[in-house]
Amino acid sequence: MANVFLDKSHHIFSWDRLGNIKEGREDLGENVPVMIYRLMEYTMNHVLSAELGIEQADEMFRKAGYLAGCEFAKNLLNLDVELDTFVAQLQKMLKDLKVGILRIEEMKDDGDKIVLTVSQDLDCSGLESSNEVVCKYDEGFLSGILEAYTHKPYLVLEIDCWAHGSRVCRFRCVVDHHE
Amino acid sequence: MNENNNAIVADILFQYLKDTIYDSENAYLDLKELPDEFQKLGQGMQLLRQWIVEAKATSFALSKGDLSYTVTDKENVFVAPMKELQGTLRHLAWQTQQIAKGDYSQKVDFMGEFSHAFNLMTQQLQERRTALIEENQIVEERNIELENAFHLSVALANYTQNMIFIQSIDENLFQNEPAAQFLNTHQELGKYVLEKLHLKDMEKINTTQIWEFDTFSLQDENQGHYYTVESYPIYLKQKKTFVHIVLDETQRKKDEKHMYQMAYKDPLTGVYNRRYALKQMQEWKENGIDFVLSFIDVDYLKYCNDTFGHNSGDEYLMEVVDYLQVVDGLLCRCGGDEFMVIESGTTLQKQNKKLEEVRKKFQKYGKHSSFPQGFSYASCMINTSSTKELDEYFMIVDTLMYEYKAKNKQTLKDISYHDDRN
Repeated sequence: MANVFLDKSHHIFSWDRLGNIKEGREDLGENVPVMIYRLMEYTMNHVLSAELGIEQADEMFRKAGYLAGCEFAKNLLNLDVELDTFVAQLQKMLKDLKVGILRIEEMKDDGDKIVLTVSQDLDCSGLESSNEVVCKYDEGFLSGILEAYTHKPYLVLEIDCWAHGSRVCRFRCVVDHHE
Repeated sequence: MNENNNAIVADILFQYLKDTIYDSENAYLDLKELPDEFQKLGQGMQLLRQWIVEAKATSFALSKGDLSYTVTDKENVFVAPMKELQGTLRHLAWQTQQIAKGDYSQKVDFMGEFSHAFNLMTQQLQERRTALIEENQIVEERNIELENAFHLSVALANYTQNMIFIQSIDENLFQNEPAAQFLNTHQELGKYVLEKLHLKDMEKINTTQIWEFDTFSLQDENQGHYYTVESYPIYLKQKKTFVHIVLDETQRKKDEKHMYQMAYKDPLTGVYNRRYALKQMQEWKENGIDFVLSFIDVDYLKYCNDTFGHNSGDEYLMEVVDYLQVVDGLLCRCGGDEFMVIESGTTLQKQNKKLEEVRKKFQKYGKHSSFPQGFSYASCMINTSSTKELDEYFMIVDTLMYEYKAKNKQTLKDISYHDDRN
């Protein structure tokens, strides 16, 4: 018999689905090694790529990143501030949460065109070199954050990546006027 | 492959490696010259040359400050740190642009001492900007207050009959109606007044000034004016400005002069009176100034009054005063036929000698021949270091004077009587 009191599914994301980590991990705490994060990410990448093909798997990561970015921005950032303040706030938040060091290289047209780098990136910094960029999740994550703030859809493309021989990941973020 | 061939291949590869390091642009390796087992090594060395060429070009572009240089081979491991540096420099360029446009919210992280210095600079710039903004706001508010005060002054200025001029260093900004009327009706005098109002060292004066000037150098005694000016320094639009309230004090000065004369002058002879003499003596005494006090008693004034009438008596007194004017000091009429001379810059002997000369001259050349004209006198040195009071000196001099009179006054019986009225 189904439990009629509990109607939420873990297959539908909402911020409170992250749970009460402090309570749940009373002794172990809120932090976990990057290795464990990457273990989950790259095994999932492996399985999804095998099941759906690389292109589809990348797209799944991008979509998941987008959802994460939107929720991250809505729940952790103040969206009612000027663009410059928002950027500074995002920079600080990513640094404080140890996601990466965000640096803006270029910002044009009131933020419609942005080139930024993320160094010491959670997803890829330290990976073995290959001939591909790997931060699809980050692409989605950044587009989700920017859209939550500007209410404009962004196309985010990783143009340099640690995994592709660079020492920083560089992203070009452009408002997608075709959306 | 024999040993000879190996030596040739080794030479080719060594030369290529050398060229790659020292002349990378022109280094050339023909893979066809290499045997099969060296093909992979040859390809690797070609890639190495390509990466070195690109690394050199990238570092050269960076050294010239070209941050837009694009690396074509993303897998080039030699270029990766330079690209990171390029990214960092681009970010710093952006940060600097943000600061230039007034965005101090950005922070530089993980760049060692540079981060600390840069963030400190940003913080200080922000503090200075905040302070400047606050300062500007205060100035702004002050300007508004001043402007309001200026408008109020102008409004109030039209409710007074006093003249009000508002002047900056180089122009007359405002004058109220009485001032405008004055300038219209008294052109020369008006010009003179405006010149006078231009204060010297205006820039240095920061407090209210109350001062006076008169126009006697421009006009004669009867038409000259006295003005009292209250000058209030203010700033209008960062410019030093003065509000001058000009009061015509001519009548008050005349009244003051009249009151002074009433209080301190003898109405008949015009010389100082006893009250003034006492005031002056008291001042000298308090300030430790020694002086000679002389009493003068006119002979036969009563006789003159009774015999020839009071007008003749008055004339007689006026004549005595004329003669006594040559004696140094302050001549005062104490009342009736008594005078006093006080002088601080002389000696007792000199003063007595002078009085004796005057007495003799007066006896000889006086207008009235119908009775013996003359006066008796006596002097005393008032030493302020002495404990004696002025009254005691008065008694001494009075006694001396009467002794002198008893000895020197001519008697009436010595002369024949003439009635000048006929």
